[in-house]
Amino acid sequence: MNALEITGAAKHYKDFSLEGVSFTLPEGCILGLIGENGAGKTTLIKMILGMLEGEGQFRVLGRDIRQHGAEIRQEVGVVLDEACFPACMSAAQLNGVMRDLYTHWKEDVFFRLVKQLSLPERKPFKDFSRGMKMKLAIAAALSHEAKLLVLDEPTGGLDPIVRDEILGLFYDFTREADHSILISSHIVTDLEKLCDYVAFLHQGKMLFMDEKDALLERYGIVRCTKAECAAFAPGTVCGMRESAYGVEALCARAQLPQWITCARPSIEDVILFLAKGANVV
Amino acid sequence: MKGLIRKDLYVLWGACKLQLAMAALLAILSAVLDAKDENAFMFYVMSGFITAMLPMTLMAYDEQSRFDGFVRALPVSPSRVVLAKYGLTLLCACGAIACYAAGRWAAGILIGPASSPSGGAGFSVMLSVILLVPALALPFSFRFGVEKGRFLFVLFGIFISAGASLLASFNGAGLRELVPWLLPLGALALFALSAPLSMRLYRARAR
Repeated sequence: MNALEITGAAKHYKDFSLEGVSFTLPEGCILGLIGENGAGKTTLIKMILGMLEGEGQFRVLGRDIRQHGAEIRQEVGVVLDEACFPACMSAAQLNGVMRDLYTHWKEDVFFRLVKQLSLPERKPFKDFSRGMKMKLAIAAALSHEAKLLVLDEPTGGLDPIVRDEILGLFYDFTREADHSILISSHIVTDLEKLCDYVAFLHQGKMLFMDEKDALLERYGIVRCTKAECAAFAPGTVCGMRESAYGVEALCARAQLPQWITCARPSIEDVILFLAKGANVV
Repeated sequence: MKGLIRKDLYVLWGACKLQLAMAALLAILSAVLDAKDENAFMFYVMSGFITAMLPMTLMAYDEQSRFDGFVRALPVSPSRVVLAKYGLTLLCACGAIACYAAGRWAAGILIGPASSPSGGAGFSVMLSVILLVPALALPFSFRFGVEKGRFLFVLFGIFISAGASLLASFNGAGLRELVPWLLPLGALALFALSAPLSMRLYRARAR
């Protein structure tokens, strides 16, 4: 079963449109959703969760989110870019609220996570640091036997130590074969560590969605002169950066001449080049 | 829905203690003044208003913490999100009735039984304000947010209080006896009609 099957997701605003986004997230996998600010990541995530209406088909854990919204959300752990709990509530009170909302809420798991993440049980939420707030949101998302985690910038604005701790929790979550994660983030290095698949959303369009390793195999970074670059077969160069010392180009490995040596790019390289060149192979 | 009402009760207790205390105190004071045959109309109206403000205040806190957006990611249907606020309003109304009853009981012990049961009209106005103001303001708040809803809250509040005081002071023989029943029943009917409207408007907000 696929954790997510999105077909033709579209949403139109006055100044922005999300257009025809389709992708599939197989069960047990982690998909990283990358894109610049305003690319439509949050809009897409809200549509997937049924928080926002839009065009397209959204099948989450095998069911249509429009028809089975509340039922599906019982099995989905959600962390938005901010932990949205009332300021005066404590972790212990949050447990009481969530216990009434989720049929499979596990108090013991929640309090174990609260303890593991060194969060105070009785302190009001307003006195938490940003890191503590996000940790509490993640603890809540992991305490109701969710099969899918949907995370919208969960590590944004956090220091590397907290980020690492949080990524560890996500790793633990995916130890179960049927657990999947959709995570959006600006911090590409986090996604590179975590994800099996990477999707790149650019100005409301999905430029690609591919297996991370396949993506990194497909492209190479070539450092050469502008004239050498111009001699490559059409469609070889997917993005280019010029400097006083020459040219750095993201190229399709399969189309490069054999004698050219190229370096393995990082996901960040691929994203940056493609965002400027937008020539996907 | 139970979880959402529980959340609202935690927020009420955590952030609205002063408002709760004021509403309770005024309801008790109204009952005591009534028992002494003194005019308590203003206190009833004030207590009603403060109580009627509570659901709006909670919605404001939800917006401030962005819980209003997050709740759509929780396993509750939009109808239940709306019904939770209506349920809370009814709980607040029950609280006001309990305070009024406590005030009457205390006055009965301390002052002795009231010479005339004059509290009916004032109490019914209080109850009507508690139900009617949210009934009119909640649909707008669910659609356009609390800021705009609050403006309507004040506007409706003024009209409702003026109308209620006119009705309560009406000297027509039959109507004067009916007002204590008619007002809250009418308010309750509007309150019940308001809930489906709020649900419809709340769903429209997701578009």
